[in-house]
Amino acid sequence: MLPLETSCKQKEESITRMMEQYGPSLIRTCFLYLKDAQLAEDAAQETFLKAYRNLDRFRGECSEKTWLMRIAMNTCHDIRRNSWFRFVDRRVAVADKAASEEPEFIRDSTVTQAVMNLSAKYREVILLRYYQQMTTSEIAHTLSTSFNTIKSRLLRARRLLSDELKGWYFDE
Amino acid sequence: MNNTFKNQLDTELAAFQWTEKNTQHTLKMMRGEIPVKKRYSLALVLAAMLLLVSLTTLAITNWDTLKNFFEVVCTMDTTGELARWSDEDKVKFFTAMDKAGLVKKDEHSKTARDETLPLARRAMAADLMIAKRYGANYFDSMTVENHEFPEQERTPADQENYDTWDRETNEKMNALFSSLPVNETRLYRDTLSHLTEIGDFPVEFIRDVKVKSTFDKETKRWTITAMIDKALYMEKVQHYDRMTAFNAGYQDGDMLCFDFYLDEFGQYLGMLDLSLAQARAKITLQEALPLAEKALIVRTGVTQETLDGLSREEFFSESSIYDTAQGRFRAACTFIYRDLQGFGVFFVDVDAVTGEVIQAIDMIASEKMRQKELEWLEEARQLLKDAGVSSDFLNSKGEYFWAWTQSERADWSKLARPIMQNYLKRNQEFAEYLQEVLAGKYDRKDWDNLINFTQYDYGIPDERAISIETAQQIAMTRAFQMGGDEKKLNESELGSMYYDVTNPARPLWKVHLSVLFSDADETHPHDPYEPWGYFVIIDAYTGEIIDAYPRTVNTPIRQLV
Repeated sequence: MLPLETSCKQKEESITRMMEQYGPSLIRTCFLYLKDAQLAEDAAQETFLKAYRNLDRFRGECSEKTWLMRIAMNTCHDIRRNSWFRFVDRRVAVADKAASEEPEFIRDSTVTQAVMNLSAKYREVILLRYYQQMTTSEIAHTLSTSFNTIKSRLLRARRLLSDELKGWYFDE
Repeated sequence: MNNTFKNQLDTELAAFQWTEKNTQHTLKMMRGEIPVKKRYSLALVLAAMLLLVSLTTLAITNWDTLKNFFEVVCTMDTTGELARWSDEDKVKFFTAMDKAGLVKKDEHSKTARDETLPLARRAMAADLMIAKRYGANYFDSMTVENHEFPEQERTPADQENYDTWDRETNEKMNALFSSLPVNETRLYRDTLSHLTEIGDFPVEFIRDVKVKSTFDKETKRWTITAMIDKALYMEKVQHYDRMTAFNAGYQDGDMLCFDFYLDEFGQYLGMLDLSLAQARAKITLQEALPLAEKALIVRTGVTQETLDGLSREEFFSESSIYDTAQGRFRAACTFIYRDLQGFGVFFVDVDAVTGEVIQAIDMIASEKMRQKELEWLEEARQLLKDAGVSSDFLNSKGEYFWAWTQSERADWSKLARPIMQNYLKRNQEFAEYLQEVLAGKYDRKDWDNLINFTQYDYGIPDERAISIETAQQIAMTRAFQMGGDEKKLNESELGSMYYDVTNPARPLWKVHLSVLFSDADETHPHDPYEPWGYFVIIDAYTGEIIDAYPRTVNTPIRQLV
């Protein structure tokens, strides 16, 4: 946690450190949530930019990671909500919008696809719980939702995921 | 699931990285060197919305109808009625479906609607209709919502409406849930949620789960027991994680039970975790204490008065005795007595299930004897050194004793054993100490390897002996009979082979087969229910098996040479 009125240089150093530490998992989380590589890059960069702008306001009321994930999730929500405008702009109807083509960088994509097939609400709790390895309380804080709601969503999401991944994950 | 899931995603997305380019781009945005991507202008937003109004009008009307239905279902989900699924619950659900126009007119719906008919009959008809639409197993409000209002068919306006309603409803339901008394339906709701704590509990079985509760007025705590028929559970659950279910569940007759704890307001406190020693204990610390003190008095000669003058710590712990059948260490009631300076003086472990005293140790005496043991061993090593015999148990290739060839071991044994035997004869106190270690008097579980490796005479096989390959085969066959995993035993590097000629008239092949692989070997993770290996003692002339036993956590080296 930085003291108030931190210099720009210090803030930049802090954010650079955060980008190194959290960048890879954060950009992948955004990708898995948004299902679009370009949007994921935008979301991740915007997350760190917002973190930079609000660093002075972070008082350590939660962990750094939780704080960043909260910004990331809100950014992703905004992007997702706004992304249909792109289709209007390009005169492509929403209904005609195909799912993003699978980027080249995904090899065997069994689990990735299974996660992406979940609806947004389930996707985010699964990603925060099992990819970001946050506790239920941290997820509730990140998504500004109650503990019980998160537990319910996780329950449902796990069911859906285990159906989807039958034959893969459970063949251990 | 945690690490496997994360690792797999990282593997699948390994090429998708946060790059230096990303970092530099972000830094430039922070410094204002490049513009930040803007959201679309309000004018464009409004224009787009106007364009879509006509397309979404029908959807909004449909949404209004469904919204009311979803409210009812959500509420039933929250209060636990969907989990309890009584006759009243079924009819209530059906009625809400009917109002939403989701019910076809047929004989079943007529029966379900008819309020003059007995409830059970109406409920049966209702259940049929509901099952036809949402499945026969347990379902929740999200299932209903996704069935009636599939996400992929929603327009953006639909989604917006749904999201708003969902947010508002969540808050309402949370408030409702928090205000619910700990009644029957609430318990069902809680159980549904809490069963997720044990991992892969098949939630579709929630309606097969019976729930009972007790309230402790002193601790103001609810204990909720969720019970399911064990045969049903074992038959249907796809991946029965032994450690998880074992830790969380216990058997009561034919039922598998899971205990959860709630405070007086119904807030979740935790669950019974049978992996903890305390949870497995059948005796209390108070019951174990007299057993512990009696053992100390008898075994160490301490008086009750002395014990009463010491401070005592008592707690449940994992003992040093590993139970392979259970796949874990035995639970113990542990007592540590300390002097005024806080140093440990006495230590007792009482088996928390059987009440047997596992060990009762005078820690000071134990430490004193350990120092003496080190002095004796040092003297013995000096004798070996003077005789030109090494005592570091490494051959010229740096291999440890159990990897030596028969002739290497035989050559060493011929020189080392007589020296050690003579030393023990001359130092009776040392010899007695070794026996006392076996009797559990001190805080030692095994002898030093210098003693272990000179217990027996080692030699090389003569022409009458069965071959080493034959001995290996006999040992392998015996290990399979003892339950050893054939694949693992065949794959493992053979533990060790010893040719024991302590009785020249009856030499022995001693074969140690190991199934332990390195910790990093994910293809052969150690099963806690399996032994580490097998030790087979074979008459070298006849091939007859003299003895065979599994190697476990508790098998000392003394018994593996």
